[in-house]
This record gives sequence, C-alpha cells and structure tokens, in this order.
Amino acid sequence: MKNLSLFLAFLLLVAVTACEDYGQDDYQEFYVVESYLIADQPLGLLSFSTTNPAFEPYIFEEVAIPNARISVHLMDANTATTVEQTFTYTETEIGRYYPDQPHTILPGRIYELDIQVEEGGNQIRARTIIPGDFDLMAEEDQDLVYQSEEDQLELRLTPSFYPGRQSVYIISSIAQDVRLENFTPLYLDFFDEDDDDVEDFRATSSGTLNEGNFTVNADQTISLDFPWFAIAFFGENDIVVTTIDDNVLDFVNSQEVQLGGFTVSPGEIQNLVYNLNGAIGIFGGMTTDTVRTNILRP
Amino acid sequence: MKLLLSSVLLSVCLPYILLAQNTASINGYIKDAETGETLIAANIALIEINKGTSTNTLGYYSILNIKPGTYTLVASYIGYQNFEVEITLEAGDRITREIELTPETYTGEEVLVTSTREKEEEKDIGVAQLNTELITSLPSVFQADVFRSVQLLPGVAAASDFSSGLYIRGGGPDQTLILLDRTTVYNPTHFFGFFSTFNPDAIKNVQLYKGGYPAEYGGRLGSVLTIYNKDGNRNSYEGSLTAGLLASRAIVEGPIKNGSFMFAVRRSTLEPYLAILSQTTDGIPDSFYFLDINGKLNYDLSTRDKFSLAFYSGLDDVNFPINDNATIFLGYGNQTYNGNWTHIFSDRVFSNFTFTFSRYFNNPEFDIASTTFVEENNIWDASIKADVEYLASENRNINFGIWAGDLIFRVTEEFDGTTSFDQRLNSAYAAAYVNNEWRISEKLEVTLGQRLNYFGNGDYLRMEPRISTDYKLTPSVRLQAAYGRYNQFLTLVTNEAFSGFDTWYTAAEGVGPQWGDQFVLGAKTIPFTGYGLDVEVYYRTMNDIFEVDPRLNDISGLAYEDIFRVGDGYAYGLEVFFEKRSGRTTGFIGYTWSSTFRRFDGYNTDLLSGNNEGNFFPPRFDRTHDLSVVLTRQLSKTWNATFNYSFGTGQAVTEPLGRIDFGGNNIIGTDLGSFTVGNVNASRLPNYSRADVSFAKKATLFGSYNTEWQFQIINVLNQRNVWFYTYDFDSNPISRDEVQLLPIIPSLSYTITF
Repeated sequence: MKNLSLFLAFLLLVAVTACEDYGQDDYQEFYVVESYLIADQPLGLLSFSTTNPAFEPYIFEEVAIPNARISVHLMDANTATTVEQTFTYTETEIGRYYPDQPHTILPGRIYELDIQVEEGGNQIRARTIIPGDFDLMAEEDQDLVYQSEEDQLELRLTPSFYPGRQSVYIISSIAQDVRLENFTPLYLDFFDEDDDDVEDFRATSSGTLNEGNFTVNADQTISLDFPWFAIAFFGENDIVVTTIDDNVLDFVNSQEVQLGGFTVSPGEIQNLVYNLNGAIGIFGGMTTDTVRTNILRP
Repeated sequence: MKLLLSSVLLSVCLPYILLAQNTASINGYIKDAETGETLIAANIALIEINKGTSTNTLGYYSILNIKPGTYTLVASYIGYQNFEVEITLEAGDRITREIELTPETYTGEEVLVTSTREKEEEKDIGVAQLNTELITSLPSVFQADVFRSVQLLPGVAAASDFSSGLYIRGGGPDQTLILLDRTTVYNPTHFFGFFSTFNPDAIKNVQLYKGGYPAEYGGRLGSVLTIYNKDGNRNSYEGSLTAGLLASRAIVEGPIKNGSFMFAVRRSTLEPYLAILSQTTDGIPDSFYFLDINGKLNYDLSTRDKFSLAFYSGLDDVNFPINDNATIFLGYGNQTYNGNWTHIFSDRVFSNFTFTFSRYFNNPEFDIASTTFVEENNIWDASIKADVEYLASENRNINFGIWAGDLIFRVTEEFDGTTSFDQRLNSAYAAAYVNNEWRISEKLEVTLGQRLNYFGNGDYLRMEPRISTDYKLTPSVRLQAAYGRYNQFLTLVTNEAFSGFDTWYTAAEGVGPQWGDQFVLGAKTIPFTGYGLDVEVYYRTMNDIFEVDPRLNDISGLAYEDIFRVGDGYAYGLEVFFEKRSGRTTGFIGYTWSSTFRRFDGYNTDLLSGNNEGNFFPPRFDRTHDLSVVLTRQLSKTWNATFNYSFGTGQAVTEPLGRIDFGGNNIIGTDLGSFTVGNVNASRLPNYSRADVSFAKKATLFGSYNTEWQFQIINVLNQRNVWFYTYDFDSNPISRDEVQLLPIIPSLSYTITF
C-alpha cells in the first residue's frame, strides 16, 4: 500500500502543478470610433466615444470624447501611401464630428483615418478601401405583385471589385411607407404590439452574401433573385445593394455571432473584429446602388 | 532462399511447436446461459496457475500452453454468477469449451468474488464498460439512454442537460469514434441531441476507450465508443414491450437453425401531447417523432465459422410551423449495415472480417413567405475490415488488421430555387495496424502498437505509434501507463444544443489532419473484496484542429481551406473511480478534476495589440470538478432502487465587461449593441447539482408474463441549474436573464416481457 500511496501522491503532484493561471480580468475602457464611408455619398458623421461598463446605464453624451483632432486622408490612387487630400473634422455635438469641407467618397479609393485624442496623446489610425463601383441594372419604380413568381425582382448588376477577394454584398430593403396596415403577412405574424415598434422593421438586411451566390451571366453581369421574405411592407421599397470593405465585413460577421452563432456555444462571447489601431469600432467603406420598387398586394 | 526462409520460420516456430506438444490449450465462447448471447470482455482464468484472459469482441477466448494437470477453471462477468469447473488437461489437449454464465438474481445474500485474476483483464487503461442493465435502470429523462449513462463516468462531461453529446477528456463530440457493430455512426442523436440513437433494449455491450486507445482503432483524436447489438436469444423466443411517456419500444428475439435473430423498434409517442398542446399553445410542431429499428441475424456455419448481418435505421422528423407564413421541416438520421464473418483458423489464430456501410443525412427545408431554403447533407461511408488475433505464445498476443473504405460527403444548398452551394468530397481511406501484447513477466506486460493511416483527400499518410504498459505491483494493485499518437481527418459542425444540422467536413489539400498525443498514467486497485478503486491522470495535445470558422456568414465562392479556422489545444485531468461491484448495493463514485484549452487565431485576442494571434481559452464545456454517484439497491426480490447524483463546478462562461452602442445604418442595421470582453470563458457559472431517483417493481401479468413498472424523478430537488445567460440591449442598463436547465421531471414506464 505504501507504493500505491507514493504513486497517488505523484499523480496529485502532477495535477496540482499543472494548474492554469487563467482568470477573469477587469473592465478596460477603449476608445470607440464609428464612421461609414459610402461611395458617391458625402463624407459624413464620425462618432467618437469610449466603451461603458457593461451593466451601467449607457448615455452617449457621457462617454463621448470631445475636442479630438480628426482628419480623413484620401490616399493617392497610384501609390496608396501618400496623401492626396486631407479632410479635417469639427465637433458639432459632443462626440459627433463632421468634415469641414464637402467631399464625395470615391469608389475604389483608399481613405485613412487619423485621430489625435489630445495634444501629444493617443493616436488612432484606420484605413478603408472603398469597394469598386457597380451598377444595379433594374427598371426604376417597377410594380411587383408580392410573392408572384413572374414578378420576383431580379437583381442584375455589373460586378464590383475588391482587392484580394471576391466581392461581398449586403442586400437591404428599406420601406418608404411604414405603417402597421402595410405589413406583409410574414412580418405581421412576427410583429408583437407590446414589444415591437413598427419603425424597427423599416429596413431589412440580408447579412453578408458572397459573390459566389450570384449567377454569372453571359454578359459578365451577375444576378440574384431578391427573396420575397425580405419585404416587410407593401408599397414603395428601396432595394439597396451594397458591397462592403473588410472592415464592414469583419464587423458585421463578428457582431452577428457575438451572442450566439450556430456553432458558438451559448455563453461564449468573443470580441468583435475591429480593424483600427488604438481604438475599437468601425471605419467602414461601402459602395451602393439602389432601385425603387412598388410592392403590390396579391 | 527457400531453405533460408524455412530455417527462419522453423527457428521462430519450433519452440512453440515443441511447447505445444508438451502442453494443452483451452478455447471457446463464453455465453449467457439463458439467451446464448456471447459475452464481450468476460474473464476466464485457471486459478491454480493464475493464468487467464478475457473474451474478445465476439465473446471468444483462448488460453495456451497450459501444463498438464487438474485445474479450477473460473469465468466471471459483471451481473453474472461466477462459473467454476474442475478440468483435467493432458499434454497435447486442444479443448474447445463453451462456457455459459447464469445471470445473477437477487437472493438476499452478498455475492462474493472468489478470484482476482479473472477480474483483471477488463481493467485496461482508459477503458470503461457499461452494463446494459445499469443503463436501463438509471433514472433518465423519459427514456433510458446510453450516452447519458456514459456521461456519468469520470472523464466524460455533458455540455448541458439538453445534450447527450460526449465531451471526453477535454475533447468535443467529434473527437470520439462511435462504432455500432464496428460501423461508424456519424450523428448518434435523437431530438436534436437530447437522446442518443441507441435503443438500450437492442444493445449487448458498451465499451468506452476514454484515451490512450489501442492501435486497433483510429481516426479520432480522443476516444472510441464501441457498441454491439444483441445477437438474439439462441435458446428460446422472447420479447418485450415498453410503454413510456415519451417513447415506446419493442423487441423480439429468438433462435433460428444454427443461429439467432433480434429485431427491435423504438418510436417516440409525442403525438397525443402535441395535439393537446397545439390547441392552447402556439409554436407546437405539426409532427415530431423519432424512430429506430435495429436488427441482427446470426448463423453458425460451423464451430469455426460464424456469420452475422446487422442493420440500424434511425430517423428524426419534425414539421414545425413558425407561423402561418413560415415553416421548417427537418429530417435527419442514420442507417448502418454490417456483415460479419468470424473464422477460427486454429486455437491460436482467430479472425474477423467485416463489411460496413453507414449513411448519415439531414435535409432541412425552410419555406418563409414563399422563399425556400433547402439543404441536403449526406455522408456515405462503405468499408471493409479484417482483424486477426494471433496467440503467438502464452506471453505474446499479436493483433493485426486493416480497415479500408470510401467516404462521400455531399452538401447542396438551394436558396429560392437556385443552387447556392454544391460540394462533393470523396475520399478513400485506409489503415493498417499491428499490436503486440507481450507479457514480459508475471508482473509486467507491454503492448506495442503501430497504426498507419491513409486519407485520400489531400493524400495524407500518418504513422501512429501506441504503447501501453501494465505492472502488477501487488495482487490487487496494477500500475499502468500509455502513450499514443492520434490523427483525425474529419471535423464536425454542430451546435451543443441542436444536433439536427450536424455537418461533417474532411481534411483536404491545404487542410491538414488534426493530430495529437495522449499520455496516460493509471493505477487499478482492488482495495477490498468486491470493490475497485481506479485512478488515472492524462495529458493530451490537439494540433491543427480545423473547424468551420463561426464568423463566416457565407461560404459560397470561398476556397475550401478558407472556410476553416485552425488552432490547437490541450487537456489534462485526474480521474478517480470507486466501484462496488457486487452485493445488494452496487454502484460507483466517479470524480474528475480536469481542464482543457483551445486557441485559434483571431479569437480571444488582445483588443488593441494589433495582432491576430489568439490566446488559449477554455471551451464552454470545461468543468474543473465533476462528481457522480450512482447507487443501485436491490430492496427486495421485486423492488429495485437506483439513485444518481451529479455535482460539478460551474462551466466556463464569458463575463461581459464593457458595452458599445453602435448607431449603424440602414445597410448593416441600426442600434447594434455589443459587448467588449476580456479573457474569453474566464468566469464560471454557478455550481451544478442534480439528484435523480428511480424505483422499479417487478411483477407478473396473468401469471405468465414478467412485467416491470419503473417510476423515476429527474432532478428530485428541483435544483435550477443555469445553462447560460441572455442579455437584453433594449433595456438600459442591460438586463441579464438566466436560461435554466431541466426542472423536476417525473417519468413512468411499463414493460412486459413475453
């Protein structure tokens, strides 16, 4: 029995010495940036704030960062390393910054963000590549009978371009006449008068869709049938096709699974994927095209 | 050349030939006296010379090189009365002796174990065996279940009350090879993971190799679970019907000329509940059932040649209307077919040849406002196996064999009438192994094994050395150690709460196989007569783990190697198993102290570090301490009680530390709340505990049918264990709610045996 005791003591020693040092760490505050650069649209709002402790009340004004020096650089089209033009920002409300001069975002170009939080202090940098331009070739103001096979909207577009990978799209439907009586039957079933606001359903979005989902046509255009289930309201709807940069792609994909992806165990929470230096958040680039349709009741 | 070959063969074989002429041998099958079922891993020994062995997976044994004399031949098997007979052996005798063991029945007396030698063989390192009587007597939610019984063993964890998935020694469910009659089963679940597919009525034997498993098996990083269907009663026709609250089952079995058959059916019986519920509650499935059919046919051509054919077919089918405009249909299941030929060449050479076919499918269909999504996911796996056991001498047993087959994985997805994804992976695979069990002395035994694996998709060839040693310190204490290298060419996409969409992927060019090493140390002891105390520690590595990247929302158009995240991991632990094997009260206490970690690039990174390198973090199923107590008490000749209690320290969970409210836009969505976290899964849920009880009463119906009432209460203390937390970003501050595990659940079943 003595030998056995020694052996068991050895096993216990192995077990104890193998203990891990992996503990719960404490809350850490991060700067948070949010800005979207959409091709052919004006350079717009940039929100700048910090994170908030998870279970304390969140009021943007209390976490907003004032007085930051913010600029966005349009990089040279050829070298992508030298600045072609710089746009400075001014704080119009606490934590909300707008560019000082107008600029229309150029598709296929690179923009860099530069934030100086305080003189000699933290610097935040980020870069986005605005996806290449494309055209959505669809007839404007089509009348489409809801769920009619003949009337299903075909989204045919010239392909966009993004360096190093296939293009990734998000397709959205944005209703123009948001009223309870305009709900399509599916969304009327989902709608809960006690918990939901009709306005919450104004925009529906497909999530990220790879170009691999599209049919490649003989004329090199690509096409996809717009699914009926994405229509929340009868009446006029803007169908928006958007192609996104890596920053938006990583942000959207990681945001969707943070609190429960199919293969992620419930309770495991991973941080979102942020492509910024010195902060978290998003400095995203997109290119869009829109077609307006009129969804008729069957 | 011929002369040289003959000389070598003669020099190798001559000592054995000469020895054989001066000694005797005994071999045969060990069977259940009532049903004629062969017994796997039953023990047999000659007491006076402490020489023995255990039966193989076909119930066959062989003891060689016995000096002439008179001996007491003892055979034993848990749940059976010991067999004892005096035999006299002459030099040169080759005796074939079929041994029949009688099942234990309650006599009011303690059953004493009379020998230790015949108990030793079943206690190999990392191996646990479950007896089917225990499986059916354990309290279980609505339905006796093999996997939920296995989850009570030390080293085996459950992800939750809702999952029958096996998380063994820090590995996920895909790291355990599940074999039913030697045939791989790819999705062994019903009710989306709540139950396993194995009907306990139809099962003869369940053996779990938790780690350090021998060269005979391969293809998984962690462990192997072998399950054998019953052969069927060879002596008389019999059957039983069991009606339960959730499912009912029936089995018939009996003899045929030179053989036997078994046919078992199990089907859920939820329809009446669904019909009642659907009148008052929304969201009740239109139809929802599972079905299992098991069958086996055995035919003995001679005492040396036995044939069997077995099949299993299982299906889950649910038709679930979310509302008037959205419906989900899901069908998934498995089919396995197996043909087996056992041939005894001599008392030294035993062989087994098998053909297997396994199919797994799941076909979810969504129809949402006339937009359809249809997925067809199929696996076809056909293989042949040959296993040979060669008893080279009384001290050396050589096993070798091959396993070769062809796998087809096919996944197609159709969205809104258009094929959006179509992937067909076809891979040949092959493995050859040799195992050399060498009893160096009375005290020391060493098993050296080598397995060679080939996987066609990617053209991978991998060697897997295995070694195990067994040192008998005292007659009641054995020290064991094992090492093995393991490769895994498959990975599973699953959800711990829902297995209905399970999809497998394979290694391929650019996606190398997962591999790992396992080190196990153990002590197997018999501290008192009728008790066992086993201790094992293990350490294992997991390299090149490939999993479909959870952050990929869409894999269309991606290169195959780009859909995976690749990482590594490790696990270690200590397991203690204290067992009372005989008497009116039997059962065990199992304790596990363990830890496991994973690492993937891009996951659990330092937020501002600027690099993508991930840090190790524990998966959700990681528990530090796990305790199970299982006790069965024969209260009287007709009453039996079973109690089990499980306690575990809380599972790993991630504590949200910070929050952000992104405004978003109409394209990506608005008001996108999200958390910032520190170390992933660095916190723990509250401790888990659950006590279950079961009472069974045997009786007779009309004086001729045996019956049994079984009344069970799950979670008798109604402990509201926490599964995970949900967070509501619409409230400010964010509110947190608990999602709880099973409440108290009573259950009743009635069985008639005829």
